[in-house]
Amino acid sequence: MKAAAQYFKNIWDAVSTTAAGMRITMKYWLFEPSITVEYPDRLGKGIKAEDLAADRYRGFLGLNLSKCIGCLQCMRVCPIECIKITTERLENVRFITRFDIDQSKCMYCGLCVEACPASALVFTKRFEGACYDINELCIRHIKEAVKAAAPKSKAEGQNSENRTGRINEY
Amino acid sequence: MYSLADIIYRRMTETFGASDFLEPLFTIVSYLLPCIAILGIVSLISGALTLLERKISADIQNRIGPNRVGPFGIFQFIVDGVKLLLKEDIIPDAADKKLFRLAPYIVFSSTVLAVIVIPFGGPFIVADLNIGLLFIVVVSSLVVVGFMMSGWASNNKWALLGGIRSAAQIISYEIPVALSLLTVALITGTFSMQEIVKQQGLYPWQWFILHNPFTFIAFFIYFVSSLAEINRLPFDFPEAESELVSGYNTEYSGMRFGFFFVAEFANIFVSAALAAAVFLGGGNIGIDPYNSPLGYKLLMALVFFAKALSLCLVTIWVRWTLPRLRIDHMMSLCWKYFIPISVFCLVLTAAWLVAFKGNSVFWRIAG
Amino acid sequence: MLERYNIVNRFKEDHLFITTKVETALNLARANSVWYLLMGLACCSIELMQTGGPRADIDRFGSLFRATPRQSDLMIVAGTVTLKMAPRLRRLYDQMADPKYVIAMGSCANCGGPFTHSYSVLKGVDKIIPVDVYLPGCPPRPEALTEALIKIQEKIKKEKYLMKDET
Repeated sequence: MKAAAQYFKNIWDAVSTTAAGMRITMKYWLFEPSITVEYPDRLGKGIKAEDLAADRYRGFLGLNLSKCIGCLQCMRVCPIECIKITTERLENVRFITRFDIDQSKCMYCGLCVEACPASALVFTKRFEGACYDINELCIRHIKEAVKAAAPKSKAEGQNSENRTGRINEY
Repeated sequence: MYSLADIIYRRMTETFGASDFLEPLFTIVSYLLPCIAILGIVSLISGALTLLERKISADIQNRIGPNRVGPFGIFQFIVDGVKLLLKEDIIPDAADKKLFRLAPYIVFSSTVLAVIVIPFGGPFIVADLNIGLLFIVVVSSLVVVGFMMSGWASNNKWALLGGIRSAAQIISYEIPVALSLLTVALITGTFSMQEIVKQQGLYPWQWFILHNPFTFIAFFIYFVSSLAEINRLPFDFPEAESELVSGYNTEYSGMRFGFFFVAEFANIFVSAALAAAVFLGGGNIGIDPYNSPLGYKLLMALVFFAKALSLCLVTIWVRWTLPRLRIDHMMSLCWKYFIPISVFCLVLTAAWLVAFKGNSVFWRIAG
Repeated sequence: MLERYNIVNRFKEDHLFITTKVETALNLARANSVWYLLMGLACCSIELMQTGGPRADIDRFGSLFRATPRQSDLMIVAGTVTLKMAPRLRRLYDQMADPKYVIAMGSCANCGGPFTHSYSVLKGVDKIIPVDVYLPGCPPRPEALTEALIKIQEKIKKEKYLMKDET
């Protein structure tokens, strides 16, 4: 007798749980709107792709050449050596002649941004970098040699603005 | 009861004059034309069903499905078909080549063969065989041969497992399908599809699903068993993606895979159309299907398509709700639950017909 | 330029008929139905799954995921390829049906990434298979992967599919 009762209880369980699941799906099908953000061209009025990222998002690295003092700290601290800098000295003035960052290798850990004492190296919100040739992803920030900025004193350097802020030119 | 083929035959003999010499030609052409038309229509419907599935699954999952290829993505299935035609055709070296090539055609043709007895409403039926219901049950069991051939001939252990599981599942679930359809055959006393549709009516209380409580149960057993027949979630073993890498489909590429794909969705439509015709009174709006004006005939076809399509939507809805069953659960569900229940439904329907002299619940209630 | 993603807009350019070369039509068909193989190996695969998810839906472009290499056009190598996995990756690439494309997703697939100095990591998946699009990021955002797919679609549309020996 118990087996028969169990049999019918099994049938009732099967039907009721299936119906409960299907009710939830029906609710999602008919009443919930879609939350897709239609990248790339239907994002909504006035919204650019970069606004999708949060404020402190770690996109590509950006360099503010007017602040860089050529101290080579970022190159030394990068664990996988994706930054290459060469500096030259001409009549007691330091010039930066090469500043290459290999974005295809970079793991966006942020050690270089923390290490920079002049807040010249920051994260930008740019994340679109797909390309056909991997050599395009090695970004050369210097086109012609730039004079390094004068280093500030230690106290002033530590009170400078937020190191993980965004800049608009890179 | 006459069918489209008879209508075409009669028109041809009227225009060209009845002649003994040309009579075989007339017969062949009058059967060939509806078959080609039906093949085209079924392929188009199954293509549209693939798109519908993607859009509905997207709606259920809070996203948008294909919407770039045309307005609301309506050309997506055409684009998929063209892409499958342009792919390389790979046949594994150690595979059994003749069986490998033959398997998709067997699966596709056994699915489409069942369409020739489906009443599309009005006079639109390709051949009104007087064993129509039996024909469908018999012909749709030919897919097992196709699946086992593709599983064996692929020379791939996952494909073989998928083929064996699919064979076990399909031949087990044919029994509840046949028994549920037999309850309706008991009530009508005939297997002919046009006759079954004719004995129902316009209103829901005249349909066979509400004829007596046992056909109501038989409808649900038929619906769930037909999900198992067409390898659809929750009975998805032959194509389980996380267990067997795509099952019997694994070694097929290009248009051979396209045949399996189209056959699966055509099978969904055929099962839904059969349920709509047999249980839900497909295409019957209370007027004579043969002697009405063309507008009414098209209306009957539209009503039938609406019913079949709503059952297809339910199939898609179930797929995106339920997880996959385990294989021993699936077997025990068939043999321990569905078959006893459908046998009881059959016997008790027979008892009902004897007790109430073949009348439905509503006749009893009305007095 | 961005409106070109939609076929509907091209209908508005002509008045009654659309005339195009057969090659362009075939390339358009192939580009709008790129089925990808789930080759999710490590953390980038989470972003790959999210790209098929609700917020950044890759199914809008007609991309389905297929579990078997024979039926997929695109292999998205998402994650670190170790030296143990490398022969299997090459075998799966060989099993794909032509025409086939590869996206190297993330730093590890581009050039070894954070594990460049490791003894057991393949330094970039282009050492064993030809890569069409490189995607930087650790991991790249779903929108970045969508942009990579659009670049693959542009590459397909420019391919000389029917007449390869045209000079």
